[in-house]
Amino acid sequence: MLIELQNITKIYPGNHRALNAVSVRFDTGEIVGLLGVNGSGKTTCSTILAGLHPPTSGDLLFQGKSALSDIANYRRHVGYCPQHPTLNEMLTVYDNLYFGGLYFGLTETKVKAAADRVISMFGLGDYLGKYPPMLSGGYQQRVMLARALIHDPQFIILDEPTVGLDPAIRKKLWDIILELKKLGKSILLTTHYLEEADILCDRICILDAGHILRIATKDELKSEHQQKDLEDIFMKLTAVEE
Amino acid sequence: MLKILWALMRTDLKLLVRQMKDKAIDALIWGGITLVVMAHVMPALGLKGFGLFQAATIFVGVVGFEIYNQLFLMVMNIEHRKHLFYLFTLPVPVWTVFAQKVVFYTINGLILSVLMIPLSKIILWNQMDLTTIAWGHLFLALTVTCFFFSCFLLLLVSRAQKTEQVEHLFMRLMFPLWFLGGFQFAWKTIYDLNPYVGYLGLLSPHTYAHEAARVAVLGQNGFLPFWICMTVLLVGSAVFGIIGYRGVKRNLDLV
Repeated sequence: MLIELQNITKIYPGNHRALNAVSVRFDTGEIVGLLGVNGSGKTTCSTILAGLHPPTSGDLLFQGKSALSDIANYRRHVGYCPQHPTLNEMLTVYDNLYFGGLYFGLTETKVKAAADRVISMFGLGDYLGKYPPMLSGGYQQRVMLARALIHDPQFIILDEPTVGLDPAIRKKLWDIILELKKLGKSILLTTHYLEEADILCDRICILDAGHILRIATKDELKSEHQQKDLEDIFMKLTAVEE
Repeated sequence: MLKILWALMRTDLKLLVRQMKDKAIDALIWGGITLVVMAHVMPALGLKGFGLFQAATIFVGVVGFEIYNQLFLMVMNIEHRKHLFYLFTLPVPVWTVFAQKVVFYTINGLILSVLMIPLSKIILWNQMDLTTIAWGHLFLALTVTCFFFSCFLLLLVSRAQKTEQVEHLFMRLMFPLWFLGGFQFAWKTIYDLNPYVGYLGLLSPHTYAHEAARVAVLGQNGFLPFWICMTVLLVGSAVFGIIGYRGVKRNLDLV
């Protein structure tokens, strides 16, 4: 087991309980899909896993040890691609990637090689001199993904990575995600697209109002609910709760 | 960790070099116009020998303007969850990210302050004798002032979570602190007019920054003691920096 959320509760000011005793583990070489309607706690879950926000209670374990007690070291192993663009708008695409590598402690030589790798992976070659605001949403998303992977993290958090991407690019991104899995990376994928979760994920975690309704493999879910379609299962589970 | 912080500094310095021309033009316009009026128009109204007095405050006043710009940019960045949030996911403790920003803002402010010196000489010419300036004291005063305002910036960020609040903060807090902090008069002047208002003026950190710069340029006579000003600014830097950092960390709910 690589990472584990252990009994995580998150309460925001105003006593808003975003997560309630959530426990999930992430194994090496596994893609876990985090599904839920808006406000279910998906983004809160990913920001805690990214080491950005602390949980109110519970622990985040990395290789069996509390990551919160050595957060800097933990973050070194995580690649986080949030929902909203966080690129430096005053740096070119190349510089965003280049400095992104340096920020994770890569040497100049390694960062150049890593930049070349992600540039070719995401087809960014023609856009290196452009500034993020000059790019379409889809391309900004690609740069964000490239930056999240530049330091070759073990655990990758993709918070709705395919929103706003056209079908061809989305398909390409799916291939990249599957390729990363083959390389032994653990991936958390939050998505609204159930078809995407069905194709990519090994296990599905369904969140509703901060609670985990169910974590299981796709096959387990389908057989439990006698449904072939993940969308029907999701609708059934969330409707029962409502 | 140092390697990562140096990479953050390199990014900021790279952008600073690119923006320096515009920043310098803005600073020169503000400082230049203020000095021209004070040194060449005010004497016609009977206010003699005010140019050099005002120049000393412009050296530090320009930092205040820069900090206001940086405050606006930082709050906007936070409000829209932009690049700054990415920096909080880097493999360094969050406090070091803020510490790097403080050092960068100090450098940024210092460059603009130093730029005001040749400008003042050109505008004041015979009114400014470079040989009488205590250069060591002046650079120390400017460095400490820039550092103080960079720490003060964190406190302001912790009090303004939206860009619209920055405008109110500027008019309600920063402008009174700056203008009543002796931008155009020595602390002793206001103290002699009314000691109670004088004591009130001691609450403004600008008072110490202005007085320290004046001591370096005009000599100790008639101003607050230089080393007291330095001590207050350094203690203020530590206190405001720590309170500000804690406030921002709490507001942004960072690990």
